[in-house]
Amino acid sequence: MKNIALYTTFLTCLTLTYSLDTRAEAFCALRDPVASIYQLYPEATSFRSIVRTVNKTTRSHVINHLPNMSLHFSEMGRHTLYVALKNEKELGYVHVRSEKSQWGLVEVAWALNLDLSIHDFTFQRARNPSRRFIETHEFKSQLTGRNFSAMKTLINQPFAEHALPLFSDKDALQLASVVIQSGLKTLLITEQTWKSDLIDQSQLD
Amino acid sequence: MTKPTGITYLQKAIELMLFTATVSFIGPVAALQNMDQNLRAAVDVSSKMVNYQSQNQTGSSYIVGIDIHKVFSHKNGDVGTLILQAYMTKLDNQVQHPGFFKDKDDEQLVYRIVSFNLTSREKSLPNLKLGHIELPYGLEHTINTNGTLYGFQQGSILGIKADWGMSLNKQMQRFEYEFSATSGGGQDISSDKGNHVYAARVGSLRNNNQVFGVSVYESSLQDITRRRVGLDFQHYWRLYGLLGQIDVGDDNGGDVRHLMMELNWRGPVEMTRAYLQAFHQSKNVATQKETRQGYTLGLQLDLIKEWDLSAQYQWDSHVFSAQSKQRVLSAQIRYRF
Repeated sequence: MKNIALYTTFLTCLTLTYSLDTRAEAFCALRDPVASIYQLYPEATSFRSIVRTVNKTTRSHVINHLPNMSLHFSEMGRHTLYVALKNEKELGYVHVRSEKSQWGLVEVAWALNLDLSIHDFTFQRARNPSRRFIETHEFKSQLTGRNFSAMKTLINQPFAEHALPLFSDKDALQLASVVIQSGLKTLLITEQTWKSDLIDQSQLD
Repeated sequence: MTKPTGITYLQKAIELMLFTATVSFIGPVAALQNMDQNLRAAVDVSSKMVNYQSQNQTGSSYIVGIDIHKVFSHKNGDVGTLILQAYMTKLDNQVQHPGFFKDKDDEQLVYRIVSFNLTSREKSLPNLKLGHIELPYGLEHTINTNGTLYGFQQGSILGIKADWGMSLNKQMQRFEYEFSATSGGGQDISSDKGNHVYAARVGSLRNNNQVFGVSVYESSLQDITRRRVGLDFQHYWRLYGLLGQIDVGDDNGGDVRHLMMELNWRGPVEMTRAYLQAFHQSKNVATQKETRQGYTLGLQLDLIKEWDLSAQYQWDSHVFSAQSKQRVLSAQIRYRF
């Protein structure tokens, strides 16, 4: 009798639950990038999460604007945009995207200004042995303030001419290219997926 | 065993806080928000086959569950995160099974993580987590092994993996910590008299390429008092990971030692993972020091989006005098939608 009651309760819960996300890992593995948010916005006092779905429409949007790029399956599904707050004032956004690379997935926490230009970034995870070159102010400053169009100009010249004085090894150049790709996707996906949540609507198409 | 008065009060306080949190806090907050706002939900179905080669037995388990993650948010910031993982589990000739199953053919509704982590309003103050929580100890605390064959034998080291209670936790700029006090009931919210579990871990941020952690643990479960101090590390280089954990302590005063090492490899898109683990355990039995040593070789494949296949082979090279050597082959298929 007890088991029947358990099954009934459980199946009712299952029926009421509709699937919103699929990922191999259980959700208890999800962690807010708290350290990254406060590193990117040191003056922030708190943050607000907005969870939305990156779906097939978003994927088509990315492919239309960035024909040589796509979204792998872990980039789809439910994702979070964090709004960094100083008391109640919005400072900017933080969004974490993972990108394929030769040395495993690279997770970049992007800080975006309210007008959807790049403010800063930090690695959540990068197993590339040359990541230290990409974490320098010299490299980051070349991305700061760029919106999608300005970032897109870097695709055909993936830092070869800017980067060589900074670093010359192959791993660093490859990671630089991954970071640019991640930044472009982040700007595009944020605009598309969180359109109704963005504070500065003047930058939208 | 006489139960210390402080522990009695702590257990009462935990039970009262869990009840209060459920009834007076989560309910109204949930009612104020659209349920699908900031919600992630999945149905998780898996089947596991275990071949106990040394006993010439094969067992299976069938699991279907829900996995829910919801962030409660306010214009001033996040209020807290609810995680609900409840899994209906049916065993079929599972000779080796967790203690909360009555026998090898039992079926139970198993709670993995059921918690509400109340976000602190101050950047420097800790969050407060209530519910059925994973114990903050060792590698298992930082690497998710939930629902998979992969693991670090935390159950055999500590006697328990998750428990009802509370914790204080926070991710700071350079380190993270979690301190927990739980009832010792395991799956049951009510616990036997005298049971309690205290666990804590302080470590560098888990996303780094080098992670170090220090853990402490003290528990009294079914008249066994365990004390542990653990050191864990993770080092990642390109597609390889080297992990380790060492634990020292005692069970009812008898010294115990554990050492675990792992070398793993992940494919560039991280849909494939292979690992080799080595475990060494020693304990004092009636003035004699006994040792146990074993290995695990495993492979995990996320071939397509919702499917996860994994297989693992475990074998003992040396066992305690009262045990026989085990050879266990396990395979699991998992589907999340």
